Amino acid sequence: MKSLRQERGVALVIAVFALVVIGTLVAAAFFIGVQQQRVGRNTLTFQQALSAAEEGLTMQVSNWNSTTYNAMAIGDSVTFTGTLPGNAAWYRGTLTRLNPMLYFIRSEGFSADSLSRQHVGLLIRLRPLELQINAALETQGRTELSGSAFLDGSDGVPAGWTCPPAGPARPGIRMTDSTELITRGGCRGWACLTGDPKVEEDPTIDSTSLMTFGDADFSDLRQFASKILPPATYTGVAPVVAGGECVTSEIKNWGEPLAPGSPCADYFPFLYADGSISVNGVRGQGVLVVAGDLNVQGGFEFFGPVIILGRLSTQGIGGHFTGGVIAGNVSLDRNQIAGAASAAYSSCALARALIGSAVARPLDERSWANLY
Amino acid sequence: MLIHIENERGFTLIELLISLVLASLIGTAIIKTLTDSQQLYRAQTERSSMNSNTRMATAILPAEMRELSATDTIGGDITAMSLTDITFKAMRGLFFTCTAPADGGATGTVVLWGTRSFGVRTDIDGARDSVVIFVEGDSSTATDNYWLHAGVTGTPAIGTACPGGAASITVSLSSVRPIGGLGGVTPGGPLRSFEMIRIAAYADALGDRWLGAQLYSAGAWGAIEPILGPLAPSGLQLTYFNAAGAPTTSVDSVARIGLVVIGQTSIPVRGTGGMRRAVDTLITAVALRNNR
Repeated sequence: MKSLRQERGVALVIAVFALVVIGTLVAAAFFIGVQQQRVGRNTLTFQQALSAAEEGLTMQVSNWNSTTYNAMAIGDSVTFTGTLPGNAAWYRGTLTRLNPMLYFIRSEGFSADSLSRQHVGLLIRLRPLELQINAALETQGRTELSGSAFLDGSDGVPAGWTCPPAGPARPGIRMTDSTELITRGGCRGWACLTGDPKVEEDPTIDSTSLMTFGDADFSDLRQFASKILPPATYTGVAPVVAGGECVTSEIKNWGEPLAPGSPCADYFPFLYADGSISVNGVRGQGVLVVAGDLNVQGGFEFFGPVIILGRLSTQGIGGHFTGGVIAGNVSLDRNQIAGAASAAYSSCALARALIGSAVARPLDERSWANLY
Repeated sequence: MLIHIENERGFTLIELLISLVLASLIGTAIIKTLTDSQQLYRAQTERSSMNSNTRMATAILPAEMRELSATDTIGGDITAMSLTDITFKAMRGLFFTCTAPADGGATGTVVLWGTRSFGVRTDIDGARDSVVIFVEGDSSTATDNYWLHAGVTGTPAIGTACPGGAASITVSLSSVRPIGGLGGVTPGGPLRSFEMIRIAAYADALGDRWLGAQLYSAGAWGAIEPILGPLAPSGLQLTYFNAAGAPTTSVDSVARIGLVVIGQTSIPVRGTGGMRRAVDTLITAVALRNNR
């Protein structure tokens, strides 16, 4: 048997030493690798969190809930949360109304592991249609008033609506050439007109002036629409409420102008008819734009601005417009306002409908903020 | 007389020489391996640090530049720019007015909600900061909206001047541009504070190059302070593009800033070309989010 004392060599020592050296190298490489991986992961999670925060802002603007947000009191806030599709990065935030026109969105984004957080903000402003209606009816071309039709230029506040005091009276009708105004029956001699003056003649009124709205023209209006109406006859337009909520998806729900406590009282749709339409009762509010002719009957009541590319005609118990009407009458056909139709100027109805139907957009500059 | 020693043990001279040579060879190899591994470790640490530096540059600078508005007609945020430096208004805080401001023409006072402030700094430093304030004007149109510019006078006062006795920050303004613009500011509107900052590459006394920042305070530029580094020669390259994507030299038409940061290790490290400072290049671009 061999004694250990007889063993010679340094193999064990060298092997142990080599193991220590290799271990050190591996540990160093591992350490550096881990560091690099952490840096890389931090970059990834930072981007995830930033993307999530940005998504929070984008979703609020692109899915603007005008029924809820436009009716918020100044200083009030609503919260929101969401998750990015494709990964678990998520966001939460707050939308606060700053004043009648401005809102501030704060969005905190988190990475999928919730370890990275980014906080960004966006200043947004309501962008109502820039509409100046200065009479109960503004139009061009031949316009015929008959029956018990009535155009009222005195500024009125709809019953039950909260608005600043009414302003001065406006003309009952503004048109290019007052000789084109034909009055018959009870309207003879402008008897069915009130306002200051009853009739205002403005030779500058033409298709361009009637169909220009700030920096937009008629062709731009469709993009404002919250509801597109195919050419058709709409009978029984009325608010629809289910489960205490206003059913805004219903095509014939155009809001509730007559019952301030209704869930649809703050619903002011921006309605865009893709061609000529007929409306036969009952009521609605908002902004009504018609890319054709508008025919109204059945005592339909509408509160807010009405913009018609073509001509306006009413019959029977007609329609009742509170706010203001622009009838472009671009084909210089004949507006025919007959029956028990009326158009009454109301700065209150115009302002509420324009603000209530407005979408929100980021401020033109300096809207985005890194909140850290 | 011959003496025979049985069981004689030990090494012959040849054996000793061979073992010494082998031991020295093995020792040298071990020392070389240790030295190499130490150098490798140091090189990797240096590279790791350099990578972190360049990545940090692409986190810090875009965060500052993203908020700029170069196209503000009252005064764009970029005031000077070149290939190696840029001077701009760095946004620091976001506040909201709680009452209509006092309009004194070129001067005035704004009262801000004390509880609604966001950003890097939630106070306003009278020595360093200036402000821009959103002017609504006619609420029926957005075409007349703009941001007025003003300096800050003195130290803002903390109080309870907001509606309902809520916490407030009262700021005295000077050099309001345009004069009288405060009359169009509506309660609730935003105010953003900013400070002037110059970002540049510079060399220290030892010749090392750094990315540095210089702040404008109390009417004078402060000393440049390092943000990160070291950088390679030409380690900061800034290029400017307009909205059409074309290079521009006009400070008020910048829509995108190209950023190249070339970091280098603080000491020479072994690489494919021998011992020298390793470099790492990181390229990014920042779109200005707040242009009109």
